[in-house]
Amino acid sequence: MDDKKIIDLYWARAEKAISETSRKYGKYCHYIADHILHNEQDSEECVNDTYMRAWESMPPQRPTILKSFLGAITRNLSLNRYALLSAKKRGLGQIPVLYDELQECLPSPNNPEDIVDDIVLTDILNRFLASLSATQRKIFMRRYWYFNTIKEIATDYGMSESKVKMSLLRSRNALKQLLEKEGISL
Amino acid sequence: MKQERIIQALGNVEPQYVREAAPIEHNKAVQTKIIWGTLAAACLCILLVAIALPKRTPGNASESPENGFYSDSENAQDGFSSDGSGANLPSLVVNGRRFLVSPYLYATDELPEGFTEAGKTDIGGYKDCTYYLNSDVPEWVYVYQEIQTYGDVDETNTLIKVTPHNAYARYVDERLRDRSLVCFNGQYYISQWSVSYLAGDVSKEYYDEMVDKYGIRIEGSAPDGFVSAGMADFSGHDTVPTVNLACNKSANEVYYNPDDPAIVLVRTRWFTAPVGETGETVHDGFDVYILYDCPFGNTENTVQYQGKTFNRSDLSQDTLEWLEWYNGLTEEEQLSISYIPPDLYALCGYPFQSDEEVNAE
Repeated sequence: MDDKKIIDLYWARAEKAISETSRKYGKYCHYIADHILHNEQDSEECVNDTYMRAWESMPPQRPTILKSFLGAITRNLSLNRYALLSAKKRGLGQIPVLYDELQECLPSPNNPEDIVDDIVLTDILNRFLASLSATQRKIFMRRYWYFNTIKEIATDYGMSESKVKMSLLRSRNALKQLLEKEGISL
Repeated sequence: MKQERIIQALGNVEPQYVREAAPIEHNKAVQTKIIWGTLAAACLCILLVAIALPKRTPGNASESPENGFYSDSENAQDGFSSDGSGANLPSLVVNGRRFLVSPYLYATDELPEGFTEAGKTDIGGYKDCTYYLNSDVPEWVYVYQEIQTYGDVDETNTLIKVTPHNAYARYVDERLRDRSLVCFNGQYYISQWSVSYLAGDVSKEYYDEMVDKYGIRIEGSAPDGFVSAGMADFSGHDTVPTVNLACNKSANEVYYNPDDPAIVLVRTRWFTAPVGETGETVHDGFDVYILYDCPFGNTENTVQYQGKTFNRSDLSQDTLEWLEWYNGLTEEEQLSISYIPPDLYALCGYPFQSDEEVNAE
């Protein structure tokens, strides 16, 4: 079923919307959750929560790209759950490593008033992503949006792991430069 | 934690970047690899096709993947098979070349001039449809078949449907379909959005090199070294632009770098509405077009003068002979020539001196 029809089902409050979403995007959402949580049961619960969140969001929302919309919900829910599990000393995976990698992007705040809100930060990230080559952008997104390992990215794009690492390093440096240029502190 | 804010904020970036990087499903027999611009155009096309062309036969399940117009698979929804070949679209093969329904669903009640009957074909669920060819326009085939739209859209960009009836529907050579081209300085350039190395437009190495070097789209002002070449003439949808500074996508300003003929930039505007924004955000910038060996490039009917391209038919025989002589000179010799034939002078857009100015001198 095409996305427009699935969205129409949500708007019509037809429960089939959930089953169609699950059938078409369940695997994709599970992939995202599993790369954050590394736990089958937790991932499954996040994916189910995604469907419920989608049900609550549509209407009024009518996403332009349903796949990305669902993926973003799954990602947020999984990150929230990850934070909860981390507090309980559960959970492994890529996130601590990713936080370390991103640490090097962050300029120190000169002034507390410089601290930006999330909307401005998202806008900067959009501009940053637009400035990357398609290949660099995909690698960056696979690492920091989908939480893929270096090896997974290298395999999927037919590259060596060192080339993936180099691409990520360059991207992080570019992000750092952009944040510094914009005078952004987090 | 600061890093956490970046991770969280990334969750709100433009959906296209999320989809672009979506993981590859390894359990498929053939991995899905689709050039992004082609995919976007294909999405539009399949949406239109799904609404409009052609009417399915009774009893044919409307969502059966086999019928090729609707499918539950994401690839088919995008309008392309897993090899990016557009296998799900109505198509026909003529003289060994495959033609796919126009992405603009162009159709006409009158057979366009120069096209003549060339045979019969089964297409889109219809039997024995007559198709028409024109040797001067080898990139198009017209098929007389039932249509439900002429491809026009209303102010909301919704396809305008018409009462089903027979008309001449345009099919486009798969090597041209959805390709955004610019003809400039005797060269062809193709948009990075529309080029497909899977379809053999360019080599993967060349594509990767150009994407890495220039990107696909540039936001903001033109990079250093790029200057405006002027507004491109819109040559029409599904066409091959043949005159200098023409584009088959739209009439937009073209920028070039005299020191780097590898690309030209075409002004564009796009909109985003990412999560977290209250409305649409307008972005201005440039699409990157890369040098391209166009299989339909017809330079036999054009002639060059100082980097500009002109149709032979617009020039007199004397001027054509003068150009042949002039283009055979060295650059130094050309610089010493001050004469320009009047018809060429006019086409160059150079100003004419008025009588008053001449008298004043």
